[in-house]
Amino acid sequence: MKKQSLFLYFIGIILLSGCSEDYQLQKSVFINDVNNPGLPEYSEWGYNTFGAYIDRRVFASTNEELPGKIVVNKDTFNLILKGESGYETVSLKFSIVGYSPADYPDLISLNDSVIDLKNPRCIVTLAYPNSSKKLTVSEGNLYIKRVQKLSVDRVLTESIVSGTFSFKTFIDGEPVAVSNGRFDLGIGYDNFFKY
Amino acid sequence: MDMKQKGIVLSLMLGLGLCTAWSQEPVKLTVGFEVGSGFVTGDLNPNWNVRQDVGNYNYGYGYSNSLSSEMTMAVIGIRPEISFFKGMFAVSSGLRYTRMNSTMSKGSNSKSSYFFLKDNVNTANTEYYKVKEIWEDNDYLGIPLEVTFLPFQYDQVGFYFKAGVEMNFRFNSKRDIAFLNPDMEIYQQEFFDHVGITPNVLYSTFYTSVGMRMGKKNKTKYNFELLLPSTFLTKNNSSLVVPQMYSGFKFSVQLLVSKTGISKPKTNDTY
Repeated sequence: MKKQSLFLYFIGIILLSGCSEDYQLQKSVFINDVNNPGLPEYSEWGYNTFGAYIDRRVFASTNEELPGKIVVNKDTFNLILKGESGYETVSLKFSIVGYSPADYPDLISLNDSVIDLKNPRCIVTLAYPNSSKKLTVSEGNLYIKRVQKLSVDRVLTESIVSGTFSFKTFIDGEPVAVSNGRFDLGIGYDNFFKY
Repeated sequence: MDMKQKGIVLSLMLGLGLCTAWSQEPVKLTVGFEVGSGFVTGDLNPNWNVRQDVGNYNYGYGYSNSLSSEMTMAVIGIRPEISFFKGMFAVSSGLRYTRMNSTMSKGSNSKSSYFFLKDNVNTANTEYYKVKEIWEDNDYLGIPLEVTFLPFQYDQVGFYFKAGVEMNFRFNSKRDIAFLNPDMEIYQQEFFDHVGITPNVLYSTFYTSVGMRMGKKNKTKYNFELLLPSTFLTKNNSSLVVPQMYSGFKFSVQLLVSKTGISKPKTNDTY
């Protein structure tokens, strides 16, 4: 029994040390934007952060939740930002119908693209723990400013997707502005999914 | 050099000239051999693109995940000194070799401790290297000019204040990156080329110090001095660190070479 515990302990250590190499890149580096309190500075380093104001309330990435995921269905691209707003876990999902990259290196095709969120092929969804709302956007866009293929020690590791967003919508019948949105996400094996 | 720095140099030279001109007392010539060390405070040069998953750039207390940039100086020199006014004032110059060493590394010495350094190459793709440490050595040869004021002299002990400037010329520079993956060594020069920073060929400082001089009259003297926080008059003396101030200590031995009397003009009573 003692031998088994020791074996499991060593297996655990090996697994942890194997993960720690990528952990440096996966973790969030939140550099506060002094001009926009509560939001991270806009960056293009793959800092795994995002933030926006929902009216005056801060919606930003945390260390606990994986801040960004890309889920690609048959013909739909979904960028999901998961963070906290007012002590609640909140997800904001941008879905683009008709765009279906095969894997994370193909995201480079999104470099410098402006997506009009009023376009019927774009769907914006805001999800709270117990509810999910498909938003009706009256104006706004998602600007994917820069997509870079990141190599670490000359090995392709992830794609860094950075950009901004802002839009106006209605939540529970009340007009709401989502402003100063920015994101800097490292997208790799762990957070790119294709079904 | 800006106006302030020029003023410092001119003041020192003027002081030196006045001391020499006014001195009518016997002049003593000694030769000093000095060794010393200095510690520089400064910030990491921002031209190095370090991914900020490190807590703090310089001496980050309380951060387990900090990056430290350090800069030290080692000095060795030979310095003839002329003293007058019964040894109360002295001026010296000579030849000095200074090695400036600067490093940038993660605070921890752990084997797996590294930071990400981004290659400055301007392409659509981004290249990070896992780096354990970067170091740089710059070797300078220079000429110091110092004025010493020794107001307190007892039997075998004296205490002095010193002010000096020095002008140095770089004759050697080496730098190296310790990559986590040794196979990346082949890209080192390419990486340096993309960073594009080279240390200044000239290095100049203005410094002040307090010291203690020991030894019998007309015998070998031993000096120990502490450099007060002093300023760099030149910029870019390290490609890793942007220096602000430095301080340190110096030890020197002074050997008496000659004691010559300069005769005073004779007064003639028959006038």
